[in-house]
Amino acid sequence: MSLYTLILIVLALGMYVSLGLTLYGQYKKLDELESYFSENETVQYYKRFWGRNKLIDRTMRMGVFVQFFTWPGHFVKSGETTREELDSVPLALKRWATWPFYFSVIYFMALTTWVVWRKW
Amino acid sequence: MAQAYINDRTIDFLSLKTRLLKDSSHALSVQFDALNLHLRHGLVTPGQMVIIPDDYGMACTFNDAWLMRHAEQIRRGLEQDAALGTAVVGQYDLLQSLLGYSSLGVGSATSAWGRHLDEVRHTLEEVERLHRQLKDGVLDRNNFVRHRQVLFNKLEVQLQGAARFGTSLQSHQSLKKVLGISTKSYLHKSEIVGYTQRIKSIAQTSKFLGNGTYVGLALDVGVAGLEIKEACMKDRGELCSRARYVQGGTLVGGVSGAVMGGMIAGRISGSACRIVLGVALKGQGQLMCAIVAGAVGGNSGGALGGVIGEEMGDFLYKPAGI
Repeated sequence: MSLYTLILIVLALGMYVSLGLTLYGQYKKLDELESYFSENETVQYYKRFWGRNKLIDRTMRMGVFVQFFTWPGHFVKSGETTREELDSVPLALKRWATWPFYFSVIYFMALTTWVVWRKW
Repeated sequence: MAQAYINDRTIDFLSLKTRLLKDSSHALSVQFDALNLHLRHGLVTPGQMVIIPDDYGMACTFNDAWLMRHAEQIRRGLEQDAALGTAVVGQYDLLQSLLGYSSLGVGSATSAWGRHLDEVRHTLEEVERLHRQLKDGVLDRNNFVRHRQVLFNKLEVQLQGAARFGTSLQSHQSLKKVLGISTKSYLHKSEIVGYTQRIKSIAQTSKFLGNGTYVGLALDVGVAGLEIKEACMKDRGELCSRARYVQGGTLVGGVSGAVMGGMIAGRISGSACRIVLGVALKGQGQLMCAIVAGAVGGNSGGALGGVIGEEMGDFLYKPAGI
C-alpha cells in the first residue's frame, strides 16, 4: 500500500470518526451539560432560540459550551457565565464538548493541507 | 428509454439528426422526428433540448412524453430570450459548481433564518396574549400599555433592517400601524384584523426556511445525478461507470464535509465574531454571524470533503476493474 493510499484512507475514515464523536456529544451529552446551566441566561436564550432540536439547533447549543470551556476567562469576564457554573461541570463532560471540536479542527487543517498539496 | 441532451451550437435539424443517428434504422429516424417535433421549425439553437430515441423500444413511453413536455417548455422559454440558451450552455459548469456544495451551506443559513422567524412569531403571540389578558380583565390598562411597549421594543430590535425579511413587515411605519393593532378593535371584535393571518404566514415561512438544509441536500444529490447523467450520455461504458463511483464518492464526501464544516463554524462563530467584530453572544449580530459562518463553513467543508470523496471514489473504482 502506497503512502498516498494510506493517507487517503486515514483522511476518509477520519471524517467519519470526527463526525461520529461530534454527533455523539451533541445528542447524548448536551442535555446533561445544559442541566448544569439552568440559571444561565445565555444558555437558556440559546435553548429557546435553537429549540427545534434538529442538527443545526443542537450544533449551535453545543457551540456555547465549546466557547465557554475553550475561552473561560473571556466569558467569565464578560459576565455571560460564572466560574462556579463552569467548575460545577465534571471534567469528563467538559471533554465531550471540547475534544470532538479540537479533533475536528485538527482534522480539517490536515484535510486542507492534503487538498492544497494534491491540487496545486 | 429515450435520453435527452442540451444542444450546444446552432445547427439545422437535418444535420443534427444525421450527426446523432449515424447508421440508424428508418424506424429510429421516424421516432426521432416524432420525439423532436418542437425542433422542426428551422435552426436548432443552443440551449434547446434534443431527445434521442432508444435503440430497442419503438413505443412512446411515459418517460418520452415527460421529456417532450419539458423540451417544449424549454423551446417556449428560449423563444422569449434567445441569448439565455447560449448563456446556460456557456455557463453550465459554473452553474453546476454554484449549485454544488454552496447549496448545503446556504441551506443551513436559511434554517438559521427560520429560527429567527420563530422568535418574531413568539413575540407577536405574546402581544396577542396581552390583548386577551386586557379583554379578560386580568391586566389593567396601565400595565397593559407598559407590557406592550416592552414587547414592541423587543420586536423593534428583532426586525431591525434586513431582519424584516420573511416577516412581511416591510413598511417603515410604526409597528402598531404595520401590524394593524388597535386595542379598540380588538376589544370589539376579539381579534386583531389580519393578525392571525400574519402569524400564520410567518410560521409557514419559518417552517419552509427551517427545512433549508434538506432542500440544499436535495440540490446536491441532484447535481451529482446531473454529472453522472452527463457522463453516461457521452459514453455508456467506462466513463459512465467511473462517473458513478467518482460522483457518488464526491456526493458522500461533500455532504459529510459540509455537515462537519457547518458544525465547526457554528461552534466558533460566536467567538470569532466577538473577537473580530465585537458582537455579543446573544441577539441579531450573533444570528448574522451564525448564518454567514454556516454558509461559509458548509461551503468550505463541502468542497474539501468533495475532493476526498472524489479521490476515494476513484480509488474504489480501480480495483473494481470495470
